[in-house]
Amino acid sequence: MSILRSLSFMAGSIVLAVAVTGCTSEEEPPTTPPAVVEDVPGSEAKSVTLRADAAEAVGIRTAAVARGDATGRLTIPYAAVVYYLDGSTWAYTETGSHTFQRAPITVASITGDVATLTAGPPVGTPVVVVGAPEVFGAELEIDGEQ
Amino acid sequence: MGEGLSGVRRRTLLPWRSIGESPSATESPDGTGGGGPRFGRLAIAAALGVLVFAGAQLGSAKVDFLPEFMPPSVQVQTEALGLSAAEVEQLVTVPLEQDLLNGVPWLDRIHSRSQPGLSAIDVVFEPGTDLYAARQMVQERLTQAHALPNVGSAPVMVEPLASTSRVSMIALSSRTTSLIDMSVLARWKVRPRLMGIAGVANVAVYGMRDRQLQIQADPATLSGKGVTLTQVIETAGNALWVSPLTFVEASTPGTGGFVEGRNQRLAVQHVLPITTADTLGQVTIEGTSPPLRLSDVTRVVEDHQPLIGDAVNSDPTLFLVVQKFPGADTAEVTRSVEEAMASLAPGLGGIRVDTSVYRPATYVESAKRTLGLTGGLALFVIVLASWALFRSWRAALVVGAAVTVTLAGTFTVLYLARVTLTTLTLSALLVAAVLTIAVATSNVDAVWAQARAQRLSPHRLPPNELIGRTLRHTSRDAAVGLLVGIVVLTPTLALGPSAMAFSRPLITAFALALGVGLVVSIGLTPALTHVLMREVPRAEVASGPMGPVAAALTRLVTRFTGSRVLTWSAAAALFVVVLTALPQLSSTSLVPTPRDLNVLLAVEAAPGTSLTEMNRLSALMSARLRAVDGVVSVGGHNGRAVTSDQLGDVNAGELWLTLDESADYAATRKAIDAVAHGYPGVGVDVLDYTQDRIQAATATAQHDLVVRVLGQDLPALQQTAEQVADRMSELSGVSAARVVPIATQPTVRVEVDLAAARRFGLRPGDVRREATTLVSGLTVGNLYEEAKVFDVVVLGTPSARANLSSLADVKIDTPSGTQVRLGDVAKVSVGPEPASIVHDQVMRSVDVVADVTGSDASAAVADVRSAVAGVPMPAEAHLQVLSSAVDRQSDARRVGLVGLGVIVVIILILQAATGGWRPAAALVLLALLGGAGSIAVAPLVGGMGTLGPLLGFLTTVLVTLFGGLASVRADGLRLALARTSAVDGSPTGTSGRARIDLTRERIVPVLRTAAITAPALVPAIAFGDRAGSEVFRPFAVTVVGGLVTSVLVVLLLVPTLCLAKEVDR
Repeated sequence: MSILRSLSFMAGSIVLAVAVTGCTSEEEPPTTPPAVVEDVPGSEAKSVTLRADAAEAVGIRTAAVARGDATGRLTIPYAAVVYYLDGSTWAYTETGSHTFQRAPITVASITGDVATLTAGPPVGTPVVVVGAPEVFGAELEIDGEQ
Repeated sequence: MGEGLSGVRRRTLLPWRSIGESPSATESPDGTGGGGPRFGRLAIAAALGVLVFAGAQLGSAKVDFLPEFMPPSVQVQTEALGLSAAEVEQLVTVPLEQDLLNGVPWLDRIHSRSQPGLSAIDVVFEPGTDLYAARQMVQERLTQAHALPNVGSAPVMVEPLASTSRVSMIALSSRTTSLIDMSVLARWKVRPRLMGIAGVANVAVYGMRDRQLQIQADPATLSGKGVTLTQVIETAGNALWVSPLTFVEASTPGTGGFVEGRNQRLAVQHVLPITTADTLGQVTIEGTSPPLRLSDVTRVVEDHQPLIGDAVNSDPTLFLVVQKFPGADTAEVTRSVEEAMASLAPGLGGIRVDTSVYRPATYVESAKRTLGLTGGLALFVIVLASWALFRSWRAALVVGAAVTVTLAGTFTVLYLARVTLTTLTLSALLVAAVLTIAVATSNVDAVWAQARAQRLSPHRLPPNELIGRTLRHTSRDAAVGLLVGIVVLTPTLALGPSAMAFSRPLITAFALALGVGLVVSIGLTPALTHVLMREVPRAEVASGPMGPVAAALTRLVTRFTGSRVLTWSAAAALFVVVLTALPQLSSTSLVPTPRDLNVLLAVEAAPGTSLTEMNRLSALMSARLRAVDGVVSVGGHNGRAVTSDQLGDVNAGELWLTLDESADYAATRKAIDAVAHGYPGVGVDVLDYTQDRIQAATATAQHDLVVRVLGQDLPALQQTAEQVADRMSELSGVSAARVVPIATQPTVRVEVDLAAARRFGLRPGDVRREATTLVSGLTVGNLYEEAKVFDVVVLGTPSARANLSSLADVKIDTPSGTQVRLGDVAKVSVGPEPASIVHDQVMRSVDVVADVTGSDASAAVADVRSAVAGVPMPAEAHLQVLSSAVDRQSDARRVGLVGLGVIVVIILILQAATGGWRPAAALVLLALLGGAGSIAVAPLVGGMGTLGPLLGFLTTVLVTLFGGLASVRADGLRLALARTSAVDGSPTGTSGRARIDLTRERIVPVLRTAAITAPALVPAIAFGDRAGSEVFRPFAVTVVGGLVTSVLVVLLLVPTLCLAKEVDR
């Protein structure tokens, strides 16, 4: 073997070795997160948009705001009431497909499974009755990064 | 030819005598040497004994994945069901911490966490403290804890637990038996039985529903019948034999006594007629006329306490989590637990018992199987390859015996010292085994080479002395190589205390294995060689597959030894490859990760999420995870259990998955990750239990820089922390300074309005006692039934605590006989309260964390200290600056310094061995270059950053060093011989011709060592990724790759660069 051959052989193997060591693992293609939180101008509450399969996974269900027959006041299921950190009461209304936003409510009383309100979203607005804590958590931006 | 074995007894085992005497002393071939023959036979007998012992005890050795890595610490848990975090802190944590535990001897850090219903205080001791002495100190302090307010259970010192303490999770599920009945069985039958097993430290029951008799009082009904709550409480308490309430008469139950007659003494025993809810309901309420019974005014039912956690499964289930003591053997404890559960099964009726929810013993068993197979095959291949390549079964026996006895001897010592065998021990044994192969083959080669040389020389030494002299020289090489091996690992001793937990077992096992290897090569190998190897092949022929390779190498040797250009450029090329490893070293982790078939999902929802919601969410998650291909079973728990290792509130839980052994591991993990991260608003971490425990142990080192503001008033501390963060963001060496938010959750505050209360004649304490009884319950006594104890509790109806309105509507009895709404005498509102209050060194703290940019962490820390010195502090507050970046950098510096020292020591050792500075330094550098092959193949097994490849590199370096050393010393020997026989002047160096000849003689031995080692490692590579091969397989791959460059370096580079050059006269 000539010197040139052995040198080129060595050079080739070094290049190969360095290339192999320099290889990094493939990057995962980024996917949309299960919840996207956006600011809403003019409101302290943020808009939370869930991915369709994420909403399905958590089992989000909504029910409409009703008007109580006897008192004429608004009623929503007790399961829709969410207490915020400062004690204010809110319900998550569905403002679009899998998009939710907190709406303020004032609770007069709660009997059994029904909460009677003195103030709240208009009659017929869909509010989240199953899965409200998850939407709440999404708005607080609790995700996989602990 | 040789005498064969039958002639052995007449020969003396002279190597022992000739080591102490000069080589020129004449010995008669038949001379009997005093202790000689016995010593050699003793060596062989001892070796056989060690082999037998090791073989017998191998199955029963203690095996675990990792050694103990938690610092010595004690945890004190106090249950205070129903108290909020702030109240727990005030009433439980502060008195315990400040008065009792702060000041315990050997204390390093005291850290506590107060959360709703639980106070957990971690007392961490200095490294090296005797855990049991420390526990004694803490226990002495805890005996004074009777002075604590009576708001919950007494403080409990949690049992000492192993680092990875969970050894088994047992699911008890049933569709017919109620959870309360299952809890009774679990608490009074199953748990005591399991606690009695040797090695079990604690059994926590998730989902435990304590059977209680509850007297549920509705204030409206009470006032309708004219009965007050206090009357109900006193009646219930006095109806029973024993009550903890000091204001009822039952607090002093009295004793039955005995009737003493003339003849006989008869003891008097009182039998309680109240055993069920119905009989309790028949009791008349004091002070009512006409007499009313308890069941007339209240609802008496059997129910359970408010839950602090629950089990997650498809059927109603209880999870029993079994934890072990430090040093207990996982497999042994698991076996005993399963036997115990099997023996209890007949008495458990319709309850299904599943002990496989989490079973680390499965991993240990399959790892043992894999390692047994690959190890056994490796030893077999060593013997086979030695036979094929030496063309002598005797040589094969010598080599095989050397390796096997070294490993068996090391195992024996570790077994007798009761050391748990871990992956780190195994890694050390692997390195030692490869080195032993090199030493043993070189011993055999040396003996044969000398024998052949002897045939040509006029002095014919007797075989014994020949073997003795040869082995004396090679033993010196072995000693040097093994000494260098031990010295090379010493930098790991300079790492911080948390890494030391892993590096110390590794080094101890390694040093032990090398020591045993040295003893074997000085003691056993000569004896065996003498016994077995009388015949020497006439000529050394490169045989079998080595033939063409040896021929090619011979041509290369001729090329390289003549040309400095080739040698230097080859060295430079290898150097470049070695350099590529340096960036990978920054992310090194000495800790291997197990290929565990158990995966853990840690789930955490927003603070304040209810247990009901967590159960619903966990059920949904488990259903979807069960549907993933490769997942066999899913089980889990939310919240806590009494004395459990989970300290979260009900908004946190864990799901434990068991995977199928035959499924594609990586694909299944990916699918699990996809499911786990598809839930909005919940944090999900996918890990394995070992990683989880290591994260818990190294929690303090997560951020580069932490400024801790310690004090009393949390809002003021938070403000100060904001100011500190602002100042820190202005600095250049520091980035991303942010305040760690304290998790808060909405909490109901009940604040008595003194004026309103006065109007009704109520005091704040009265309001609290009535309200807490109706919402949370008051234990008024105990029922004793068949060696079990149950609580009797007075509380309100479930509707009283259903929502905020009903809470405000709770009626309080007033002294005047009327009732008043809670909302009318107190302000009932919801506000933010900390979800958990953390104390560090006894004070509340708020942390400001930041990353350190740039290379000088201590300068950045100094900047931070001066920047924050001017921040105004609220009363009772102070700052603390902690930096793990500084620790890491100083660790790295220390390791670097020690490393440099190690290189100097190695050069000194080599200088003593080779007799020259230049060969010594060149050998060290060339040894490093010999490892270039391992670095080149490391990407195939995940890069150089893990334990297996690192040790593979180290092994290749040591093998290269050993091979190069043998070449240099062979040259030195030849030179010495030439000098003694020179006529005029002495040769001062090795001529090119002589160098080539010398190296050509070295080709077959060097190649043979590699050709025996490489196939032995092939089974480990071929078996693929399984439990047990996490370190062995990458190690095997890197060693095989490294052997290629090792052989090339020893044969092509060492002759030119290490051997003394001839000086032209």
